[in-house]
Amino acid sequence: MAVLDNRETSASTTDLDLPRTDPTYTRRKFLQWGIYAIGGATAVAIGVPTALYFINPALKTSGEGNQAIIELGSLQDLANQTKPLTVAKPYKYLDGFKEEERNKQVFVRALVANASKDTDFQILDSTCTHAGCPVAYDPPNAPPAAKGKFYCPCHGSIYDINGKNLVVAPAPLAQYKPIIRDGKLVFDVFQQISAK
Amino acid sequence: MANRVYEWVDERTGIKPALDYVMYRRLPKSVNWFFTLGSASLTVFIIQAVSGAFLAMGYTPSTAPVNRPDGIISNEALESIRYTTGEGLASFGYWVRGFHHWGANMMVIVVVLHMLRVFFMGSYKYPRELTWFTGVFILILVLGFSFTGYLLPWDNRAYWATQVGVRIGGSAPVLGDSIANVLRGGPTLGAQTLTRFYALHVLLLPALIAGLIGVHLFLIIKIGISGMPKGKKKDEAPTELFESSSLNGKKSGKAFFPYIIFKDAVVSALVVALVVLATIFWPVESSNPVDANNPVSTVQTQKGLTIFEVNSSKELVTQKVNDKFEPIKAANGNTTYVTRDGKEFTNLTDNDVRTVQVQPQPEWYFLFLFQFLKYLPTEVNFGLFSISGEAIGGIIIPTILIGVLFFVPYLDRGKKRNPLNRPWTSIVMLAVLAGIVALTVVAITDLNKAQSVQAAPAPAAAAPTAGSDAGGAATAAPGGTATTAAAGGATAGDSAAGLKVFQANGCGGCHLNNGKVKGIGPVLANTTRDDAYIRNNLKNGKGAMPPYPQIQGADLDNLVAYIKNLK
Repeated sequence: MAVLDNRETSASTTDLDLPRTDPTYTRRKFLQWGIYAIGGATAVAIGVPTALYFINPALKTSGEGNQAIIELGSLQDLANQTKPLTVAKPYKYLDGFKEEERNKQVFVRALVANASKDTDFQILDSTCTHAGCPVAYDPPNAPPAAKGKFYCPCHGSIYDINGKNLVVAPAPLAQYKPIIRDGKLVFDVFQQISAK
Repeated sequence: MANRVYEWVDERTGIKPALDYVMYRRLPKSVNWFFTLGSASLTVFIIQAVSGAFLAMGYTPSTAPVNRPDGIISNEALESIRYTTGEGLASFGYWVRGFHHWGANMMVIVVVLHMLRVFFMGSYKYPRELTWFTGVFILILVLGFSFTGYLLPWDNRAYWATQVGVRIGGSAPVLGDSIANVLRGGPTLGAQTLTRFYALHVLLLPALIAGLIGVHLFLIIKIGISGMPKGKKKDEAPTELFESSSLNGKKSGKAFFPYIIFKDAVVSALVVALVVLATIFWPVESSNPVDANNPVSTVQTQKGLTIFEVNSSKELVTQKVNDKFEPIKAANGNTTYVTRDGKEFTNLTDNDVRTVQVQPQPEWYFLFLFQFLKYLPTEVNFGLFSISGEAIGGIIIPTILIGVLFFVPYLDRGKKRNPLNRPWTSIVMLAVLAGIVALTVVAITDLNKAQSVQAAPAPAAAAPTAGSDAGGAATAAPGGTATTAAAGGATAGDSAAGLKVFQANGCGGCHLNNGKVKGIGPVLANTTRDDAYIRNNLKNGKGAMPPYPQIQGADLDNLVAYIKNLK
């Protein structure tokens, strides 16, 4: 490389070892720091907005601005539904600029007979907290231990009727906040509540 | 700390001598502010690379339809951009888009200025011909970036400008159709074109330009910078091949770091500051979503100032009005209406008709070419064969100019570098520059005129039919212009019906005010052209005008009648 061959000639020009009182030394130092300052300011002007743009998704909480109400049924019909009722319904999800249809399956049940208040109901998400498979309530092919409970076909997770994890699964099933609206029981897919 | 890291790296790479050479090499003392344009170009390139990489994260190159909450059917490409960059200065994406948009404009300016500096100082002469060749390729690639990037928002403005651009490519003799098909990725401008342009813009062109910039920089460091040409009398060709290396030994000249690079840094910072300021003060906005059939919409009022905005297919485009589209009554009783494009119309009166036009408008630095095409005849006959005017103006002449530019080191072989000692070279370049500037100025003046015409009330305001059906209202425009039908009578077609064809095909987008006023296209009123000429141009297009082979039969007869009878 011819470039490398010039090392002897370049060496003589790299010197900043002039006496500090030499005007050339101070001029060089001034220019040197000027270059760093200008270069730094330029990089900041372009880099900071770009970096903020990149990390912007972390500044937003998930589901922010989203609302997806799913209707489960009339209050009358569900008032005495004390066994978990499986409901699968589509909802609209705004993924950035695009509205998508997604599906949600939940189990709803009345905690008391003649349930009438929102707190009388329990809505459990059907996604197993172990590996994300959909769980089923009291499926016919489940082992005896899962009788009358939620059972996951993938790795045999079992949850009790309140969604409390009994076998395999590391956490209870997610719960949604029951909302009563115009005589109907509904919930918002983006409003989860922590299990009791 | 930094020093220790550097030493650690140097021990394993031996990079220090090479870096020292680059940083402390001696350059001619005459290197001045003119010589900062190359590094400014490199700075802008870095802005483009960084902002482009991040913009790509938020962009979807798809034409798939998206229903917007405001009732407008848009597409994924445009909506992905609006989503990531659309919230003004509050969204960081807006900044990044601004950097990329204004950086692209700045890139063209700085690269062209850099080229002119090299040209007028004769810096392309021996031994720097190869540096010049790579530079011309870089210039072509920059224009390629501009052409491909302009389409990506997939809005009406981009779509129609690209239509014209592809059409110019398609006018090439012999290979024309193949070129157009290759550019479009198919017979029509659509989904294939968008992904094709996207891949070119973000993969192929960046790889090519990065490689060429690498070679360009290597040669500059290897050969050294030419420095200012000497005075007219002392002017001479460079004699030493490696001037800067030889300067090193002599300790004459200035070290690149910090003397030369300081000026580079100042000018680069200035350029970046301009890009940032433009981002802050000039919002980058897209036009309507691509509506391939309907480049034009019309604003109409009825008695009592009910305002409709209809497109050329007479569909109401303000069906689901959001606040922005509501007419605003001003204190003085005048009404302002903001169209779906954000264009404002003031002083609307009862029974008013205004055209909202999509300008098939390219970036400003391509305007000269559009303007030039307008002056050329449809066809030039060379006896044995004939070539279309747009092939001459859009392909042949630009190719010759680029070719001449490329081979300048071998066309101007004299030893002298001072522009005064190379009068012909300098005069030709000045003449070409003057032509480009003049054409650009005329084009911009025309565009401004077209816009002010739009904003003025239509002279013979049409009286839309009564009723709430805006579809009916749009077709009722003949009320104003049908008078022309009676005046003519020479042609078989029906002028009034021809006006409908005119409007339905968006002709008014370029031939303003139903063809009575010059826009992108010429005035059609009082034409002296014969039937055959008009029919041929409609069928095959001309210059920037796209072909409309779909207009046939009675529609064609009526349209020709309308144009011929237009006063």
